Amino acid sequence: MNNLDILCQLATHPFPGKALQEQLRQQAGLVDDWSGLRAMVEHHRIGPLLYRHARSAELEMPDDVLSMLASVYMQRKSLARSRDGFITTLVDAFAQQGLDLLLLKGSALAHNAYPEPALRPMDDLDILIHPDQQHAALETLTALGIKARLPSTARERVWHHWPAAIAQLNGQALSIEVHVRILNRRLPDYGGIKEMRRQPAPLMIGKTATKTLSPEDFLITQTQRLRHHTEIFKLINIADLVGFAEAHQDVVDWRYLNNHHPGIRYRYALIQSLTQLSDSLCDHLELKQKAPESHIRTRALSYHGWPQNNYLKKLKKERIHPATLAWQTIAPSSAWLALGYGTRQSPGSIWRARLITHPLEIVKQTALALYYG
Amino acid sequence: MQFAPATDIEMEELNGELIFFNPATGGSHHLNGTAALIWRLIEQGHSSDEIIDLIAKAYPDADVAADIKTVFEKLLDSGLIYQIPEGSDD
Repeated sequence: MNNLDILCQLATHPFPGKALQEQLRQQAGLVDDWSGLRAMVEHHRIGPLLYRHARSAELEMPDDVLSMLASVYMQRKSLARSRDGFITTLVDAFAQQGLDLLLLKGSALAHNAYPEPALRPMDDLDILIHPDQQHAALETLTALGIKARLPSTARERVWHHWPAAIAQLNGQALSIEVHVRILNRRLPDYGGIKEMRRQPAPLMIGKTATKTLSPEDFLITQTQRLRHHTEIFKLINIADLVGFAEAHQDVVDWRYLNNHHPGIRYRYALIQSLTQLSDSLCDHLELKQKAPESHIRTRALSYHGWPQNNYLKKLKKERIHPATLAWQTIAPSSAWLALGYGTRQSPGSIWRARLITHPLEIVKQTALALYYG
Repeated sequence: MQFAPATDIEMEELNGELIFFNPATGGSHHLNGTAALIWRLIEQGHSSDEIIDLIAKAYPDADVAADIKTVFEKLLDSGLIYQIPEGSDD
């Protein structure tokens, strides 16, 4: 097991306690080859988070590595400041028009799952609007100089978000996904604003008040995204789940989630192998508190089978042997099965996921992808 | 001459060194030792002459004025400081 891998996994806790900080120190002391860190933090988007841990827990690492992390952190800090200014403008504009607006995914997580927004890198903004207010939303976005258009084809109209809208932020293009439904159509449908089961939660962006999903809806939908076969796994996804649960543990309806969405709890049971959750969070999740002792290769947390491999092949222009692809499709790692589908890590549950859940899910997601585009 | 730190840059202090990120250029800059000290003195509002005097007192045997002026030029070129026009209240 690669020591750098373990360090990055341990670092996925945005609010580490003293015990985890000590583990981070010990693990950093075991790393003798830092050369792979830059690529790893870039892919997994944990550079700023690792930098913060390096400073607060005084991790031993070569000066050039620390400088690299510092540069990444400062770049993201600057981007976060610009982005938050833009979000504030967007929120104010929608509020003036009396339109509903909720922040989703990273744009919300940066402010409610991390000690500071710079620790949550993101490349686009996800917002949720009311399906009956789409024309008014388009006018509001256009008035702000954002290039957006309503879905125009049959396929676009059933998709969960509009074609990407583009804003210019300090000379750079910022992609905005205007959602009318929370989740991708290939995933279990969770609806949009009209179908929300719980009241939206308040969210502060600096001094600007806006809204996001309720903590329960947030956890349910964020964990569902992990089963998406073409979503590229990143360790920041783990940090999102850890940070959000730790920050909201006193307000989440854990009894409801544990009873009606046990997959969430099983995912956190797997996350315990990566980083150390707090005692109180483990109590809420009805998990035994334990330090991460048996680590999982980070690569094993990703799905490498079809159709994701086809998608990655196109991105990276790689060739993959059909036999390798077939094997990765029919025999994904048990870690990914537990994380993606929220199964228990017992042999029986993993085999059931491998033989029944996963094949059915491939058929279902493929059929939905073909139908919805 | 009076200088002031640029306001739109990010800065972190690491082991006595200063690391800057300039969002306008996307570039990072490292200042160590004396350069970091000079930046700090600028941040505290000292004029160029005061900075030269202070450092000269710390290094009485060295001719520091030319070196310090070189640092000022580099800081200006990097966009980490700007010169305050004379007579300005800034």
